[in-house]
Amino acid sequence: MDVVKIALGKGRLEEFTVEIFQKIGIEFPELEKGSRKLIFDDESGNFRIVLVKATDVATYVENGAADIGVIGKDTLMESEADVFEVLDLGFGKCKFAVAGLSVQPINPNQKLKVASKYPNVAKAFYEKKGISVETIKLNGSVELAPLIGLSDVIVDIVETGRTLKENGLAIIEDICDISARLIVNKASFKTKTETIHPLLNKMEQELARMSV
Amino acid sequence: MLGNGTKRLPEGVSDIHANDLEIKESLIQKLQLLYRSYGYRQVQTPIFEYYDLFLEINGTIDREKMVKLVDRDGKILVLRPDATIPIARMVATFDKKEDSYFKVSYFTNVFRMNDDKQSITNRERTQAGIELFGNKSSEADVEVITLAIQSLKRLGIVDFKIDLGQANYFKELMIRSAVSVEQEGEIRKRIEQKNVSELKQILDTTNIEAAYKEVILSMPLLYGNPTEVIQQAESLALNNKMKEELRHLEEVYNKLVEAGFEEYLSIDLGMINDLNYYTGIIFQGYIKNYGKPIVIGGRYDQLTKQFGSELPATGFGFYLDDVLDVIKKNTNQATFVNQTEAFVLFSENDRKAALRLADRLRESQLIVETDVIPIEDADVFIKELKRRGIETIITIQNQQFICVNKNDEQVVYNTSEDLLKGLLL
Repeated sequence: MDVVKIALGKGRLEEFTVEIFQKIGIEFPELEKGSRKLIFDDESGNFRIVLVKATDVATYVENGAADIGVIGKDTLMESEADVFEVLDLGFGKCKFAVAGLSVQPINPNQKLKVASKYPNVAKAFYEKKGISVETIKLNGSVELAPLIGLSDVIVDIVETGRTLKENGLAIIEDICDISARLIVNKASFKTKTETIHPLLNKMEQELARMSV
Repeated sequence: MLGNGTKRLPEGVSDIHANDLEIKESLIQKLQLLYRSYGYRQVQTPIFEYYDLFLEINGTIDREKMVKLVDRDGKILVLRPDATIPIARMVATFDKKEDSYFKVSYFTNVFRMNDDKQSITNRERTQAGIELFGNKSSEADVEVITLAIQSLKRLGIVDFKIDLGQANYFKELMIRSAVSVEQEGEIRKRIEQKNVSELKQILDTTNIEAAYKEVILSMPLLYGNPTEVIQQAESLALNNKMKEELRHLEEVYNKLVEAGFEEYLSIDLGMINDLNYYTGIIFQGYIKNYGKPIVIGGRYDQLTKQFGSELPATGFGFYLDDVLDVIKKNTNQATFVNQTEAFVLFSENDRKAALRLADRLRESQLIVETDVIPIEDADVFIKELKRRGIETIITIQNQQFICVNKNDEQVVYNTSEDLLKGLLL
């Protein structure tokens, strides 16, 4: 049988996924022991976890370097990867939203400047609305951008909205919900059916059990 | 020395060294023989054509990805971004009286500006494929899919799957559901991604009839075992047109099974990409442990209409470089393969005799190189030839022919006749 390679971003999502695997009887003993390696095989030898940077998961899966990946919808949307998005794991729920200064109205006669860690998501959102915008890619502390005049609004992930509020920003518009997704390489989905399809079924059942 | 810009290659293009090119050419040769044996004749279209040709066709090529040039009269030209559209233009404008069947094959480079920084993409890629015009029966679909399978087998690839789909099943479903263009786009994207949870969310916001919603929601899951999938799709079909399209798919599938291809086949009715273009049975081929589809094809009966002709058509295309990647992964290639079989060394006086000898060896199908013996360091020179793995080194000296083989065994011949006899035996 062929080894199914699973790309995981280090951190909370990795722990959550490994927990699901444990529940459906797939154990990665070395990973659970906290080894600092990046590649781990399960006991049966049928599955292999590859630890990568969260933003690279989609790249690994799209190119077939990994068969399966677990990734936040935010990173997945930004990557625009051509993969199957087969399961909503319901973990890490939050949303994409547009936020701006709560006090200052936006001048409709000027091209809107949008700062974001997710410029592709921002561009696609406004393109769908038929509004042309200028996007500015930032790597962190996006809330700063409207405060110091770098942009009119920001597109970012919002969990509780507290950070926004404390910086004098408010949500202008919701874009979409976000949660962790299971993605599968299209070719692997078609050629490794005998391992991948049962795995997906088991995971789906386990998720249904967990949400009850 | 010239600046750095002259040594670097632009992004997305690469040199092909002799070994790789020889493998690539041998793949092309195998496919040429196969297609010819089924009556497909190779054609070629120009490397650049008018931008308008590809712009006005409801095709599959993003306009920003085409490589553009400006003609002397200001018209925009593009480097061939696709093989099928120009071939359809060519065939549609043929003299149609003599024959209504056109079976053509092509081996051609296509050019697209792929600017996705995260993935490994090329701007120049070699496509190989066939097109069958003028036959709308399922026999044509079967023949084309058969040839796709035979191509992979002929290239020595064993672990692959051909996934069959039916564009019209989904198209009819969308017409009956009376959704807006935007809604259809959103629905299609989710079905293509097999994203059931988001598909459900989207359907919840529309006022499509419940019965239709149920079928749409099942679309991403209509894949796998062909008999089961067809049965399930049959029970979901909402009208005769949908059933008819399924029966067409079933017929093609059964005929392929009859031909012994069952192990290579699967069905996915959720495969609905490029629907502006495809009008019936569609298919994609995947090789195990290779992340991308290796062959894409299907029926496109509407395309020649745009050139004022009405020829039903079906065909497929391979990205040959991807096939080459797979084959190279499976075989360990040496970085340099010596092919020269004999090397004739001579001094200026014996030049004429040496070149005549070399020519006679070449006439006997040997690969032969020649050079003057260097006055200094002759030993180093010969050592280097041995290192390259050349089978026979012939030195002409004092009217004699001294042959040394790989194992340093030496034979001396008095005439070139003797040498030819000795060597070619």
